[in-house]
Amino acid sequence: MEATTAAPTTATKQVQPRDKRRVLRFMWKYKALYLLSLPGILYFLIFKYIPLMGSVIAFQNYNLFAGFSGSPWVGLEHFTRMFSHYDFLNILKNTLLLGIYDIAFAFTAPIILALLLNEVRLALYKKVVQTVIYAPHFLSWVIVSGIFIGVLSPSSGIANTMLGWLGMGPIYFLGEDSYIRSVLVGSGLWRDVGWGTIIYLAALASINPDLYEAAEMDGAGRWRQMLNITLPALLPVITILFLLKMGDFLDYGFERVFVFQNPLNIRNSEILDTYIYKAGLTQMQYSYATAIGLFKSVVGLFLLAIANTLSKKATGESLY
Amino acid sequence: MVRRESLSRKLFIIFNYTFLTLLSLTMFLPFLNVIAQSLSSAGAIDRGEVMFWPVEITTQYYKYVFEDVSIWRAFGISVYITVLGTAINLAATATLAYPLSRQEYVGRRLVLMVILLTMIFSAPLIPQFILMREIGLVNTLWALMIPTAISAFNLFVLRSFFAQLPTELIDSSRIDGCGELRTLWSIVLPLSKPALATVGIFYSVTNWNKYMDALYYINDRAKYPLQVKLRELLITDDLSDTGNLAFEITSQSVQGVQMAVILVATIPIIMIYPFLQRFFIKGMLIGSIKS
Amino acid sequence: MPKQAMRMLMLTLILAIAAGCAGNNQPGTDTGSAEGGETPQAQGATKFSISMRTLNVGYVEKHPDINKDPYVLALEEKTNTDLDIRLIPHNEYQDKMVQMFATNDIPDVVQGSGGISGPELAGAVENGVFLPLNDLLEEHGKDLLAFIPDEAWARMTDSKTGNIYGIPEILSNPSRRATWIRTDLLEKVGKEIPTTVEETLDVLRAFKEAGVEQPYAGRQNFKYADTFFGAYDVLGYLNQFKLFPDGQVKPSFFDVDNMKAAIGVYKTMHDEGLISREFATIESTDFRSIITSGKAGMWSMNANELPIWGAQLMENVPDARVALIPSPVGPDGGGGYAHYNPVTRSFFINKKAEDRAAEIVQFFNWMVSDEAELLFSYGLEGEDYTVASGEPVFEVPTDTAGTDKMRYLNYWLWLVQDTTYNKMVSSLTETGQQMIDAFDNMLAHEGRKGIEFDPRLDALIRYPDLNPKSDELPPLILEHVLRMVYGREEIDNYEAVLDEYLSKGGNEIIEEATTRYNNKENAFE
Repeated sequence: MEATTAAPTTATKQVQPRDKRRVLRFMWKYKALYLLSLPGILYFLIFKYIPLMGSVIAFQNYNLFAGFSGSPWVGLEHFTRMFSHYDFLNILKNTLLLGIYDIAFAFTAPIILALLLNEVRLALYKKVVQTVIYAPHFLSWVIVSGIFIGVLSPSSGIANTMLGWLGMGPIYFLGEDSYIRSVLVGSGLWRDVGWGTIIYLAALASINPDLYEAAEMDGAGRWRQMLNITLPALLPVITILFLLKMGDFLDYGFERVFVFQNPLNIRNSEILDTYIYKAGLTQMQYSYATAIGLFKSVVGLFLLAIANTLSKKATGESLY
Repeated sequence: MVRRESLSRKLFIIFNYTFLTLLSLTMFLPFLNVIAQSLSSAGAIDRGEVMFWPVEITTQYYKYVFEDVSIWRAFGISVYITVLGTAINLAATATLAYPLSRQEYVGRRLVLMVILLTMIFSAPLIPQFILMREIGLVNTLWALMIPTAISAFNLFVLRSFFAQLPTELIDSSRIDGCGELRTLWSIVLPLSKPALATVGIFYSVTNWNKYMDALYYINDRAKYPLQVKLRELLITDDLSDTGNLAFEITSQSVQGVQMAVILVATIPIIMIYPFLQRFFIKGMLIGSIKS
Repeated sequence: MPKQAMRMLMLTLILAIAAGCAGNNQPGTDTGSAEGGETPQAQGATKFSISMRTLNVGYVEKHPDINKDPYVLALEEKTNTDLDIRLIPHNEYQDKMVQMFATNDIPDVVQGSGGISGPELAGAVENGVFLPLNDLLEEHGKDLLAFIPDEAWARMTDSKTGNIYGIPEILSNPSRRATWIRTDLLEKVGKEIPTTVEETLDVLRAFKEAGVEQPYAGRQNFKYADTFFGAYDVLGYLNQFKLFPDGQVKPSFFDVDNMKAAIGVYKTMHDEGLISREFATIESTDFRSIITSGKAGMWSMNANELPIWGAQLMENVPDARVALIPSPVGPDGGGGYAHYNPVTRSFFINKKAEDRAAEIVQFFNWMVSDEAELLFSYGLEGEDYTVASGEPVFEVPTDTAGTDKMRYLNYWLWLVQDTTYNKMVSSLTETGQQMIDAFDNMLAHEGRKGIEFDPRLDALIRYPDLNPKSDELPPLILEHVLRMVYGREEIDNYEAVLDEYLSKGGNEIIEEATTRYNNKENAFE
């Protein structure tokens, strides 16, 4: 990579031919590219789009044995059912809040951590730390929740012991509405922040060290170097990861919340994914579950489209 | 080069090392606890005596895991799926990411949008079952490698890395008469080692952890990958409620077995990262570009 | 060239879609795995495939090929059959079953869990996948009809048509859970075995004074910690609907006075430290550790676990002694835990196997014979047991391999039996006899039952927050009850909770329940 920031993907190097014949001839010139991409496109069409059409069951009362053609159509019934559920707004609020916290904390933390790791000189230490911090990602949520429930226990957990040193009484963190979101975000951070650094470390590895040398010659300190070199170099990666996250905005995750839920904290911890599980999948309500899933996806798509356009205008980076 | 380090720099370094060490400890200590439990007697675990060091050391849990000889075959299958599967993943993803990263690909915006949609909208399970049946991959190991050949997320990541490569290199390769495939192979890939390593890790972990796919699509128990066999050893609560209590679990696996199973399931794949870390060293690209 | 490629692509797509839509599951079409389905009946053994859940039985899961197991071969020999056993993973049983039905990959015999409307069957019975068995049973299953009680048959019958769709494995004693107590601690505090709720609280207080960490072992959502709801008969679970004096069929937690009393008991225990203050986050693994490490004085658990949990407890705490006692009784003199379903596993015959249905029913009929009992209790003559003066002589194995095999034979391979306990094996050991004694003489006289609807009430499915589990209160009620126990809501507000329940769909639930009960539409008591 040279000294300039990444060439925006939308800027054209050559003038794109305008009239149709020119276009076709242009495409023919690069036919190898199209051929190369064909298997991949076919893959998506066959293995993703065809099953995706099965989403029509969201508009039916799907019967496994009658299939798509034999199941009765009910239009938007499942959607009205979802919206009119008395707790829908609360569930949506919980989901949105967690999505926002996710972006505020879980998205930014790996970047910061990667930058900190980048400043480490001792190679062996860096290697060890990298391996250790990415290891929790491999633990299942059941185990992670076991660890956190233990740590946060009012009677035997470290957290409350430390609170005791500060003179504060033991808090039953998981037995209260008010702490559960923090627990969810915190456990998510513990588990995944190290994993999240991988991609940023890869991006950092691609930066030309000469840039830093030149900057030092010019008298720029580390902080300034980071602002002018490192961050702009990371911008493309950060952008696409952010945009991809927009698409999954309402997908906080089922298991990671389910393992921490109990009736004492459920008011603040019930999200769309856990609701789908309880209302849909355990009761053979495939259509209803699919409908809720569609709703999540549509919202994600909407957010992504907006974010993509804004990003294109602001930084020139975009997903498409 | 300026050598003098300012005070603020020194403070920062101290803070950095301290912070990273503490952070690593918070993640390492629970693991240490898991390892300790996997080697401690059931009584010691129940009494809560096990912290970071095994109490009343025993290898019974590991013996229990490995006494079923078929676990080694399952291990082999998992290695096979991870290696071959990841190779397929990388090949498929790279050959799609590369064209889509080129300005010359007219309509790439459309293709990218199409792929993006498959990421945002996920198909319900039952149509997936039906598709797999129709395609005829059921009960083969291909069922674990082909349907998940390309992850849209990884595709976008790899494409983004490819798009940042200097176009002069690719142009000159074309001028030299290389076809696109050759360009991809000789120029683009060698320059993308960090990206490939990253995406490779992502795919490897997914392949190693494959569980539900194997359960759904493989009926021959001899073809089960490691995760399925290990999960069978773990008798834990059934999250679903079928309405009939007769099948409830009252005798869960002892904690020690659970811990041993976790370690056997995860240590092999955790070890991948240290081996790939050489691709994450700074300035990887530069030597190659200069030459 | 690109255009041609596009056309090919469209064609492929269209074909694939058409195949996907058309190939759906009309029972009776194409694939499926009927072995030797259409060929004329051979004189040899009857071949059929059967799907069976592994039930976490180690012997089965670790077996290289269950179809070549000597006991399976012996079974085939004795019944003149050739089985093709298809194992279904235990934990993902429901998911795998749904996939099986969705792809029309249905074996000749399907094992279900309980009645005809379980979620694992995905509506197969209603959609005509299985054969009605009434006539076949009359002709070829007389022993089955005699052995299996009416209430179990009722669970396998569609009340609208009167068709029996499956053969049930039964549970004659529906009380499976018992109240356990540490008799060594009782002795230490000088108390008698408590019988009423008040006496029990006194004992718990004495335990607490003596330093017992958790006098009563609490657990998340009151699961396995519902002793006192049982005492007051307000369990409120799926099978605990009651006919109230006003003629309506409502969940038992509508009994306001008793419910308030029960909640009050738990609140007292919470406030006085007789139950862990963190019981809302204690789940199964910790629950077990707490008990087996000796920290609990009294708890609830399945009676048949006595040998296993008892042994582990005594390993950790050598002086500990544990006994099963009659559960504390409430104001009506009754107590105990929710009754279990009278049907454990059930076996359905695929319509495609109609040609062999008679032989299949005969196969199941053999399962309730004495010869079967001997095979599945002890094993093979000469190998597992010997015969002396006409009687089998058997020694109960104590090694892991032996116990695994026993579990496999007694519990898994024996397809139709009374699963309360295995008489032939349990009567041979002291702990076994204690267990038989507990089941026959104590548990048979306690336990709470109510009205159960199978298939589940539609209204319950529509309102998941009001949908109880088999052993947990509905989420809405549970939430308020827990808050009351933890002192965050007033118990006196309980009537308001019931009002909330009614307004959020409870009215429909009660209406549907009452109607179905009056019409005897698959309503079981």
